[in-house]
Amino acid sequence: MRAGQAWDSHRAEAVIHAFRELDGAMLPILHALQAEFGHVPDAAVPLVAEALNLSRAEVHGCLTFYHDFRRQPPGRHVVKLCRAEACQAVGAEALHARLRHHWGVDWHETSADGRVTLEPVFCLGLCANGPAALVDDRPLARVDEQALEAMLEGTGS
Amino acid sequence: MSDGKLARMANQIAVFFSAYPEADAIAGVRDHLHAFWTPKMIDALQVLAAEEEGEALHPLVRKAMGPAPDGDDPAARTVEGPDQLGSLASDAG
Amino acid sequence: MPLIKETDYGTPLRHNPDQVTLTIDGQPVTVPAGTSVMAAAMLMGTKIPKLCATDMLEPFGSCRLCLVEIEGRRGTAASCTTSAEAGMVVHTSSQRLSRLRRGVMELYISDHPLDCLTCSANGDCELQDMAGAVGLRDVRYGMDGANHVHPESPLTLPQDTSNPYFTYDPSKCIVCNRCVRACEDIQGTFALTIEGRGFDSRVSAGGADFFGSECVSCGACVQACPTATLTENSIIELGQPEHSVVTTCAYCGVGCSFKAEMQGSTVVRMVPYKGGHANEGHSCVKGRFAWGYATHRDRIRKPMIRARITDPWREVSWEEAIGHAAAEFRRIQADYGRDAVGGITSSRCTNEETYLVQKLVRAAFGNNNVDTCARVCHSPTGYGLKATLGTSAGTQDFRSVEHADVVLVIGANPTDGHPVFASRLKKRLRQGARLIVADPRRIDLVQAPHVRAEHHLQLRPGTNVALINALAHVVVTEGLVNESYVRERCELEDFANWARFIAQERNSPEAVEELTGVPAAEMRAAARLYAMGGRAAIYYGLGVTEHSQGSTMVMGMANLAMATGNIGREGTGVNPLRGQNNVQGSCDMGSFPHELPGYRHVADDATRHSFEALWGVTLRGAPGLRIPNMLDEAVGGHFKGLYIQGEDIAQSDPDTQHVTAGLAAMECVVVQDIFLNETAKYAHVLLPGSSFLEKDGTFTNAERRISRVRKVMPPLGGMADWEVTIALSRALGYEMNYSHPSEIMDEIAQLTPSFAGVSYAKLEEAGSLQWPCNEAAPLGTPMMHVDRFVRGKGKFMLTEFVPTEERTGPRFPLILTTGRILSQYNVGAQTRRTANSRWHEEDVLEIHPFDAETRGIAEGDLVSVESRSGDIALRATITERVQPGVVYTTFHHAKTGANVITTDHSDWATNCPEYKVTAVQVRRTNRPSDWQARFFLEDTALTRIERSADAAE
Repeated sequence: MRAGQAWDSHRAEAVIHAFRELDGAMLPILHALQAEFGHVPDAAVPLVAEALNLSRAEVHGCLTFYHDFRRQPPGRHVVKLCRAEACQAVGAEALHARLRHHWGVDWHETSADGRVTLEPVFCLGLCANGPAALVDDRPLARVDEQALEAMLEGTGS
Repeated sequence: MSDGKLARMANQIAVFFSAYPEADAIAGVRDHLHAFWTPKMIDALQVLAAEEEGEALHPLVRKAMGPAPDGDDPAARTVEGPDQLGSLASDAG
Repeated sequence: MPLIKETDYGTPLRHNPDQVTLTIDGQPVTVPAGTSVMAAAMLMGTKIPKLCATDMLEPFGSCRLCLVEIEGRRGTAASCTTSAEAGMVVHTSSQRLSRLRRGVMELYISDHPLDCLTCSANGDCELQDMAGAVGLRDVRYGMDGANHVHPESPLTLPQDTSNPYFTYDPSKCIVCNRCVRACEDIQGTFALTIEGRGFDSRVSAGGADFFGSECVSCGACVQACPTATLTENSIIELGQPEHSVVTTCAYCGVGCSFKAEMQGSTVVRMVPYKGGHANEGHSCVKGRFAWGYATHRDRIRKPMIRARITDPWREVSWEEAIGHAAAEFRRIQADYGRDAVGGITSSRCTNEETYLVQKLVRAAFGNNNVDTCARVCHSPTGYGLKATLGTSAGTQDFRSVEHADVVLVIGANPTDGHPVFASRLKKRLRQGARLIVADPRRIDLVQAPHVRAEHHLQLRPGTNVALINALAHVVVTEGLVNESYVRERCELEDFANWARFIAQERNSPEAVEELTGVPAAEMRAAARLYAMGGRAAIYYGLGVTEHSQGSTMVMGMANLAMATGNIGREGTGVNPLRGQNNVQGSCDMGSFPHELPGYRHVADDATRHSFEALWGVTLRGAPGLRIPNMLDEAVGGHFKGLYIQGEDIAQSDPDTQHVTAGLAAMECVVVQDIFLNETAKYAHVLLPGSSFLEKDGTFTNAERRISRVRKVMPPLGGMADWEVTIALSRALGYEMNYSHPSEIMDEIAQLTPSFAGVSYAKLEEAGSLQWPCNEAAPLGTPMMHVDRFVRGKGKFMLTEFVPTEERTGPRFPLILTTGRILSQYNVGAQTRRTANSRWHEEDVLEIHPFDAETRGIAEGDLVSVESRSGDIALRATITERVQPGVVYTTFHHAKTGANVITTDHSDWATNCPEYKVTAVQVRRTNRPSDWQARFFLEDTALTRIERSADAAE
């Protein structure tokens, strides 16, 4: 997954423009901005508000409601670990605790070397093959530390 | 107040009324002046209107400053008392 | 008088001719269909516990406290979201309900501080009340665990004290959403949201602190908050008020009703009064919070006199000051003639006070040289509406906008100038009404959250009449005239003449496209929308009147409204947004040199005789001097004395240098005001005025609504304004005998047919009365011209476009236009002495990027703005809100001197100054202008006060 482009208000306007006519355009726009920049920059909020004729507060409320939207640029890799019940049943909690310790991060944080951003998700639909994860949007089943490291290394950093 | 200013104000009033046919326009200008100007200002304008040269006055102003048609009291026309307009109409106008 | 507690029904009361009868707790109760069960219960006196419900907002159903049992239905229904239905049988209390309610409260209290005794909401907290109402005794969950309360908890957020008037304490928030809903539905700003989700949810001003957010500090959220989360700083400081008095705001023409909540004679806070018909429980930052100026240290508490304006002021007794003023006026009249003196009434003082000032001028001075600030704002409204409709006041009340389908806002900026009305308007727009804005500048209303103007006619300043004629041209030539209305209600010959005139090619949109700068297609579309969109209402302001064709434009709008049948019904009308709290009243009270109270000409013998009989004097039958003429005569050496109450002509009137020259040429200027204002620098006698908190009286707002002003503290100077005028009149030899303002109103009612039914007793009963209020309309008149126009039949007037004499050219290529901002009020005398200045510390010049670039101007640069009248310097801000060729500023700060550069051009009919069109040049500069340098010198030189030795500070 691309780490995201640097902030460019013209690019952002173009992204917003592409989706603004949709019914309920806010979410498609926020997703598209995150896809473009790797996160939803603060500077984007007034642009979205203006385009949709909403207040900045309304955009802010939507943005902060969905944890999937990042406010800060992520690390080089985004690892999403499933914390839902089926994965819990196969030891996900303990695994996550070890990983957090290993990378030195808590949920939603990025490691000091900028390598990994850790995010929680709740159910990837891989319940028969837990613990499940997404590494830069690629699903991974039956994960453990080795599998994750291998995946991360395989992508070349 | 300077003659120039008086003339300017009078001319502006005349320009508004010039959209109307002449008789109405003259009456309009005269009524307006009597409704809103002090007697002193009207007298001063009268003097200006009588002068052949001096401040350039709109023709309607000169005509309005001339003698009024018989029995025509401009003040009375600007004032329609409550009794003429009906009970609700009263003095809100 | 105890603390007024207005009943909160929980959900808005509905008005519906259909009634339903249901049974609550065994009692039958009949309510309009659509009423909630909660409100129905409250109507019969039963308070169902609630937290997220309040009758200022639509029901939300989140707190789950108001559950009731309804026979025949399973479970428990939320009484706020459940409509009463015929035959319903409701129980509001039972063991099950008690347990459920107690359970809900336990959850709330498990994440809430337990410091009730030292909390600012102690005594006024709905959470406290509910805990008591449900009998909460312990919290099973304990107070540990995830919470927003303890300082060490990661979820705890710090207090937000960024707003000078209130504090946001997130630890006390129960996330009832009332504040968010208030900001959305009542105010229409949408500045608040809920951040996060689930247990993390917290109220947020859009991720910023309150001051840095979109919040406009209206206080609706503070009012809505049931806990101490959002509390006025004055409550935190002083504690709970013990009694309250209903009074009326002294800022703008909306005239909001407030409860002044007091501790003794100290105002603790001003809370909007739901029973006020103008505002119905809402307010803006000024009325709600910016009342501290009344006790500011700059208040003048002692009369002062001086021989020359360069002398320091000398504090003296009331007798000496009044005696001196009277003697001087008499001397001047003896030396220079009866007409050498005059008076200016205030549009901020009460009706009674204004009446007395014009009475003093007419009876004691013996002339008609009296005028008021309406001269410089809405006098064209008076002229134009009187000529066409027969009355010079607004035609509807504010509620009428709820029925409008199309709204045309011309030359007004309601979100800044009439905020509470703007909130009503925005609410209607969110419901689907369509908006046309005619303004040279992109005002907030053009695009705001959930509001968008369908057409923004961004015309060049000075081309109003061309625009309105073009719109009317479309209506007439495209067959959109409401023929039956015109036939029935208007003078047909005048209509025919007008239709012929307006249909001419030169009045078409295409012909004026280049002149106005508005695309012809836009004008056509807007005209069609206005004519065919349903009920269409025009709201206008000083962008219409403060022009050399102000009166013509007003007539043009009336023509358009009459031609389309848009006068005399709800949701229509030609509505002037009158600026000052009592400018309507001051006009009503005969403050004009040509009119006696009630808009009757001084030449009308019958009226004059009725006044002469009661006043015991002979009155002049010819018009007196208007303010601009008074100043001209002063400069000419013929006008020497002026009694000014509550008006600052040296700051608010145009062509400042001419005004100050006029004042300086006078021998006795008497200023009666609460502060030493700019005009006082040229005064010889200063009489301390009284603020709206210090006197009884009435104000009349833009709806013609007369409301009570009630005294809550003694006048700081010792006398209320009306008492001062009586004293001065007495010293002049003309006795005035009134022991209370109600007696003055009784006299007004006696002499003025449209006020005949008004009395303080009736105002107590009715709350407020819209004139005309007399035998024909005993309860007042909300809407005028319903069956017929006041003048009988509506009169179409010919409105030829005449360009202003103020022309741009190579030397002065830009047009300056002026306006207002929300936080400051007019000349800023009041608001600059409150924390409102934090939002607007100085006037800035808005300039378009093109114009800025060609002049090398960057954001924040000091620029000189020069016109034919003078020059000033101020900071520039670059924005696309203005169009190329137009610059804009506000006039709230005296030191800016915005009026130094405005011209002496004025409306042809009323001399209302053409503030909105000044040809200027703008260039970068590095120093203030000469005028400003002199201003700073005079600011100290002409305001020195010699205090007596024992006056301790």
